[in-house]
Amino acid sequence: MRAEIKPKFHNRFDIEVTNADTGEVELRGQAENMVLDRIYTRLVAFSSYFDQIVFGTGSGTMDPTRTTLFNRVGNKPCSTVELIRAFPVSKWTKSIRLEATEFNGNILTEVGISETTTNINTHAMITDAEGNQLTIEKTPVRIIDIYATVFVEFDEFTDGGEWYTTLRDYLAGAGSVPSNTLAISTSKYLCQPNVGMSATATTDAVARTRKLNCQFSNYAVLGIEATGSRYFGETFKDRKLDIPVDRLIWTGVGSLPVTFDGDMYYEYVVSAEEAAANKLFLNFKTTDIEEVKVNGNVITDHYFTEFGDFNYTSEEFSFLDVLAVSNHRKWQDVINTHYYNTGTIGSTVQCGMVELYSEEGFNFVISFRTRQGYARSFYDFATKDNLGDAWVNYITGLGNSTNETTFRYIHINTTQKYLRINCYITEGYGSMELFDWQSYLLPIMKFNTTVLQEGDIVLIKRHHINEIPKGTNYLLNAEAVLLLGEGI
Amino acid sequence: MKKGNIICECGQEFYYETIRDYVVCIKCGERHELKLDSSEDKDEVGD
Repeated sequence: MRAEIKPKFHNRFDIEVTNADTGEVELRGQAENMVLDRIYTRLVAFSSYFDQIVFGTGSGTMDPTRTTLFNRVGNKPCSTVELIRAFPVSKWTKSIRLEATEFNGNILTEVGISETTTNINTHAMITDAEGNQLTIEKTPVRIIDIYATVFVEFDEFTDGGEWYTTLRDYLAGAGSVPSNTLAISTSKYLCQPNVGMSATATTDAVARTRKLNCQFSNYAVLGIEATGSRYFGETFKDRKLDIPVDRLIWTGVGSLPVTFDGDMYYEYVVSAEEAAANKLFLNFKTTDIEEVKVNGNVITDHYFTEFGDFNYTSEEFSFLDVLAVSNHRKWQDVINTHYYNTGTIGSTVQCGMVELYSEEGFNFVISFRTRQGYARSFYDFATKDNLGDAWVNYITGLGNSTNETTFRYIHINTTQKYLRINCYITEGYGSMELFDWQSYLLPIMKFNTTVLQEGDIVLIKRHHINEIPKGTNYLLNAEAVLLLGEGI
Repeated sequence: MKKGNIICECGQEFYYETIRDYVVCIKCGERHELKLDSSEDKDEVGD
């Protein structure tokens, strides 16, 4: 998996000559720069590059391999005049002033920016507004202000990627620098779960690149083998959600779409409940299936129930009715805004209850990100097959967790037609917040003539485009490349 | 130095730091006058 990003970089100068006696501006110059190779030794290392303005009196042929002015006269540390941070373009203007008593007798022709006093990162010859070469003589009656402006431009993503601000703020304004951390993530769920790890950074100033490399083999958050405190539920044959990776996150740099084109095979062992209902409960959020085999024989008579986001209205799915939704604030908040803050919890409190009816049973997911103090959220699920039946606890107390910030998934499979969800939060001495809380119905595969038996093996071939599946032997080599270029 | 955030009428959002009394939108060029006290539509904060 590889993602490449290309912020562009440009610098210009504006020079203002003021008569020290009259205060009038008597001359203006400018300078469009050449970005020198040297700057990339600084940028790929996330080092400073713009602390000084260096000026000189030389002339010659501009060359990006130069590291000095043609004839340096002096330098001064520059201070910020203006900083604009935005996407896609940011700019950072710093200036120096040559006072009336300073550097007199020199005829200035060239300027550059640098992090140091001699070597330079950009180089420019001074011109007038029409681009004609201009020389500026420093005299005791002249105050010269030299403004250097750096522009940084980021490409706009067209495929769902997102820039973060740390890299931009380093390039424009000398903010802190991005860390060497990569994460795999998914946009398939609202809470966008991710798992990160430290990566190895390598830099190449000639190629203008900074690369991060690492190998993911972590099953904790993403993928079929998602387990542990993040994953709760009761599913047929203990199936886990397939959460494909479709984003590579470089902390502080951006969330980058990944490219992938390949097949994934899903093997299901049919449960007794599924055989009785002649349905297969899938563990992914799509029906773009290329081939289905039952015990090695290709079948083509399959079809799917509707699937997608569920916001607790009866209008969303033809086979599902919402029988009751409590007015507890939590349920109203998470359903309507996908967010809830408990406030301080002093005792166990009821937070919501819903009763649902589905002709097809439930292939049901709740996912969210949580920030927890010492308060804990629980979900009880009860089912029944007929309206007059008593509720039977299907599973109790899902969602217990410790004091941490992380992602949660609750995945329920049942062929029963009635489902009741009862949520409560237990006391501690803190609070908790739920972010990007989302309910989802996954597809259920049905058949026109095929009859499933308990223990049948169903093999599904699915084509993945721009999402990387996780198998049981999951190792994923990840590389993110930051390619710094001149432009704008 | 004045610092703050602006949402320009053109839709561009940006953060600024400047020693000047104005800032120009990097997208459309509109000039935004800056005051030490914030205003509802510009959200500037002087320091």
